[in-house]
Amino acid sequence: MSPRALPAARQPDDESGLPGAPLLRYATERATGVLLTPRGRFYLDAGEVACVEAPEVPGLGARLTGHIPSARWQEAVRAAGGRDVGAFLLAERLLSRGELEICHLQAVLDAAYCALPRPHERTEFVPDVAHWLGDVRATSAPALLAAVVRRRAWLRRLLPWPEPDTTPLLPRAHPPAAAPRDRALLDAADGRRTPYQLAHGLRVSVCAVLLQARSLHAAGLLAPVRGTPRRTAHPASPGPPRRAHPRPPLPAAVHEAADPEISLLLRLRNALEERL
Amino acid sequence: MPGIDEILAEAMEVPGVLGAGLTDWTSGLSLGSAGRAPRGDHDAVAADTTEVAQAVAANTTFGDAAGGHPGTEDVIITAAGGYHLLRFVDTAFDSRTCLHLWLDREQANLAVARLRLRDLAAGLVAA
Repeated sequence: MSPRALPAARQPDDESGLPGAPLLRYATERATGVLLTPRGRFYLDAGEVACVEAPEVPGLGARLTGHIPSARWQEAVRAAGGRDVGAFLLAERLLSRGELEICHLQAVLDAAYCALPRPHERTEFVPDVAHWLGDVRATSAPALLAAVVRRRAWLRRLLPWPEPDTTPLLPRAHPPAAAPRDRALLDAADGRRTPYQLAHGLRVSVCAVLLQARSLHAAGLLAPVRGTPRRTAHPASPGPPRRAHPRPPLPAAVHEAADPEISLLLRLRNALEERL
Repeated sequence: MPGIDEILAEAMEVPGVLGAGLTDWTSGLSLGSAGRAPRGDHDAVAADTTEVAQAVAANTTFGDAAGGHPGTEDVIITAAGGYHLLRFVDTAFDSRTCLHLWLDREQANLAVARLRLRDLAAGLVAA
């Protein structure tokens, strides 16, 4: 189920002085192919975002684990022959179209939240590559970008510590009466793992971990580890091996640039929307 | 096994309905919309729906502070000219979406619309 063999990449884009700019540029060009960023890949189909993958966040299969047994999922993906897996899952009645669409869009949003290129990061565009999932439900690049900006702003308002996405979490207590979901997060939080890594291990969205962290913090059960350096781009993830999704080589240079400025992103989006 | 578009098309058959939408309430991403929107902008509705859903879901009295699986079912807003109904969609996997119905107050029956919306939300994720 790996992507089909990748044709030669176009020249790397290094003019991307603005966050999200490469994605919006290829969307405006109605391009088809995959945009590689240091933390993930954006699959475009005629300029629409068909799929987004980020190794640091759980993908569709991981999210559906509680719903479709993982062996059954892998069997279905194999049987589909590595293309149009979404249509195959529906034909096999493994889930409803509504569930597939919602789960897919949640995975896309979460991956975009993680993988959106930061200013001046190198990206590469490989044309004419389709994602193995096929056409489930595409979304517009400006809408996706606006959603990421809005979610980031909301989570930053909610969490009382800076850099909530990348600050490791440490349990303060393990109350025996904690709900199973809370206990799972308290058990996984070890003072080293960031919310991204915790989300990967727990197979939920980063957003879910941060929301849960907020309530556990309010209850005095969990705290951010203060003064830790920000994570590197390639943490030792406790997640499952990812050999089922071999990645094309990503640009080696990884910059720890500042997160995108929200107001700048919004201005950029508005400017590009006017051009679309 | 209906998808988002089919459910929204069904929502447009609820008596008195003016518009409908499905939104990710962590981000305001519109997952689909149908019919009309106040001021003609479905994306603005998705963003505004999100603010209401967030205020409720992340509230310790009305929602679940973790915002994960709020026991909250609906949010009902009544106004001089219309009703707005928000329904949190419960899924077997991790997700945060809500269905929104905009109804004409003269034409709609709030109790009927609420029950129809409940069934639509259930139908969206019924395998």
